Amino acid sequence: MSDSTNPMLSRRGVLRGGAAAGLSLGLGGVLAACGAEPGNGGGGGGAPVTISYTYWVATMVETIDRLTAEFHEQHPNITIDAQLTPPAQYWTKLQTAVTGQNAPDVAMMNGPNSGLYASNDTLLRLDDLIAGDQVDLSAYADAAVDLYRIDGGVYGLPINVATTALFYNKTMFADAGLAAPDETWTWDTLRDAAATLTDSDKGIFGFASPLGNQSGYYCTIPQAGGFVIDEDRTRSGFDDPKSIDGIQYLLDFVTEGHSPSHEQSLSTVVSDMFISGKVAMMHHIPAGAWQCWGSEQIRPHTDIAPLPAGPAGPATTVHSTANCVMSQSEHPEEAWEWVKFLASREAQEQFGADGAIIPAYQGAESAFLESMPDFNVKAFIDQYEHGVPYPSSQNTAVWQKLETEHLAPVWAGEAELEPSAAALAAAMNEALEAE
Amino acid sequence: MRRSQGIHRRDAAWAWVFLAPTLLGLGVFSLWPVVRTFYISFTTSGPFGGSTWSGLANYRELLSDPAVGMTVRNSVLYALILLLTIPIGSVIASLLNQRRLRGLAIYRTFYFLPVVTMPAAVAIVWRLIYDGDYGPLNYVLSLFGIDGTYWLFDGRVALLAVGIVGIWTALGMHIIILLAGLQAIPSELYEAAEMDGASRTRQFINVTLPLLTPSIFFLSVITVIGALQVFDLVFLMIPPGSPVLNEVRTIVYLFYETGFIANRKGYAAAIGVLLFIMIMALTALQFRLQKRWVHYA
Repeated sequence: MSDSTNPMLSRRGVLRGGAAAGLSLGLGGVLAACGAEPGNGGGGGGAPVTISYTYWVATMVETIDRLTAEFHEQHPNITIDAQLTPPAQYWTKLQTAVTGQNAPDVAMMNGPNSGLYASNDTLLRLDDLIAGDQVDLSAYADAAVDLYRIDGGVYGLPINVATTALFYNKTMFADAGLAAPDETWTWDTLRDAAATLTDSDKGIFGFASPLGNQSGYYCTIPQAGGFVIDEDRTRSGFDDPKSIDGIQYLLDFVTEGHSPSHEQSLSTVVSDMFISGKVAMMHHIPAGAWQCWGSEQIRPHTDIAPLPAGPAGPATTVHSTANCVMSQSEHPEEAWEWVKFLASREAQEQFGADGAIIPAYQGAESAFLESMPDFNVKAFIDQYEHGVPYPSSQNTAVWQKLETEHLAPVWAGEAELEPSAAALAAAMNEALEAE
Repeated sequence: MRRSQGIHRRDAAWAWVFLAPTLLGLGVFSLWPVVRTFYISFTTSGPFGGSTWSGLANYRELLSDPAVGMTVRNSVLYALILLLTIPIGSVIASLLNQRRLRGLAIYRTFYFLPVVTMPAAVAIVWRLIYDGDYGPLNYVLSLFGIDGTYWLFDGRVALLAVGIVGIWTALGMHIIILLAGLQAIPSELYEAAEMDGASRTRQFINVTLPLLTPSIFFLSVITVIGALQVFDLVFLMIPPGSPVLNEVRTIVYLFYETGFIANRKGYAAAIGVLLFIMIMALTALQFRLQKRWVHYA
């Protein structure tokens, strides 16, 4: 993609052939960016087979490397070629590879994309393999499996579960004489604490409320009793009055000055503000815990609590990534072995012990809990019972883009919430109709 | 006679052999995608290929889509901003053209450095410079009592802010080309002009400028083409949730969103074709107009 606007390239192009060449480099760069996937090795049965695997979670690299070697020991004929692709390019690259009949054998999936890939028959339906090998799906968090249950079939085995919890700076709480957050907290408690902790002179905000879905309004909308998408995945819930309450709750922190402004949270991610002590509380997923744990500066001041309950009770979004066998794979059985292995208890425990992700395998979390002993990371797991599945449909990315388009002006203080939410719901309904 | 014809033919064959790698590369990676883009623009295409012919439907939508009009406006504005590189580059190039200047090589290196720097790195550094709270730009402005804004989040200045980075990036290339142009001007012309009693300013207007016009023309053509294709700087400097996206979204940005986020490859291809036509028209126009102002020595 960067080729399309590389000044050197386009300039040289023009020197030779005028506008057409310059433009062709642009379009060519875009359309010919199909990255060749290495290692679609041949052979079948017991013959040596190379299974290519792509994923985007950089914190998993060490564990994956170790597991790759272990897997090869158990299955000497299968070699795993694992490729980490940065999240920013992951989906474009995978899509191009699939379109060019060059898909990896196994790919990591997430909620916003699972529907798209499954409904276009690019993923292998795993039901028969699961039944054949007697894999027990009840071992995994329900909401995690449900994200990959599409049109009655199962398309992936989950590797991790991510809920959202409340991160707080316990030193700031102690200094302000406030009691630390716990499961008795409600929206009101958090609002009061945010007001108390905000210190405009020092540029400190009580709570970070950036425009964000997974840790933001996807959590507070169900807390208010609203919904993002109905159960049939055909209707938007953004115009529901309760959904609007859930968004309004987050928005109020910004308008009242108890949260960084939209501009501020776009220029500096809130977790960085939390780490530098500019923000006393934030919503975040497990990756945030890992980030705070890694920072000498904030580790001694950090702790984690469940999200406060809204008018309709407690709720948190449950997201899960899963491994899927691509239907283009020439070695689906070997690919399935790898998927199954990564979701197995032994592999899941290793993921947990490295602390990078919360394993999806229930009961394998103990190693994760011990990986960050000073943090109450159990808050992530305790909230499963209030978990709401990450909202998704066939073309989730399309209406997620609409969310940003309609809500960004609201967060920036340039538009009113209610009409924007109504417009968003209408646009989202139209997008769902087109699915 | 016959003999020499044979040699010519053999030479021609060799020429083709040597050209083949380039032609093959151009054909496969440039020409074929262009042809495909035109084809795809007449189809409705799924996220993973598999397309159906839909005739002019994409183009009909293109003409009535307000987003397209806005991105065309933004891209043209961006191109106009980037054209400022030429006068700025001319001034710096003529300053650098003085043989008495010490450390010329260092200046040239400094000016050329941004050209060879990765756009991603450029974007990240400039995002920090423009930061509303901690950015050095606002700090410097505050020394003069000026209250800076969130440069990349203020719809009135965001496109200009990105454009300034674009100018900064392109400047080195412009200076090199203009310097080459300046140095190609024979010194006799200045001597003659001096004998005729022409002042420095007069010399610049009547000797330097006319003889620099081929370089300026070349630069204005490639600047317009490059600017209309801008994507990386905007994509990297303006985050997706930004409220100013409507003021800065360029044609290629829309192409990316349509093709790779919304998965509408057919419509995206039509946007690409629109850009192709725009660039072709603007370039043709520039070539027509050059007869009026470009002097080839």
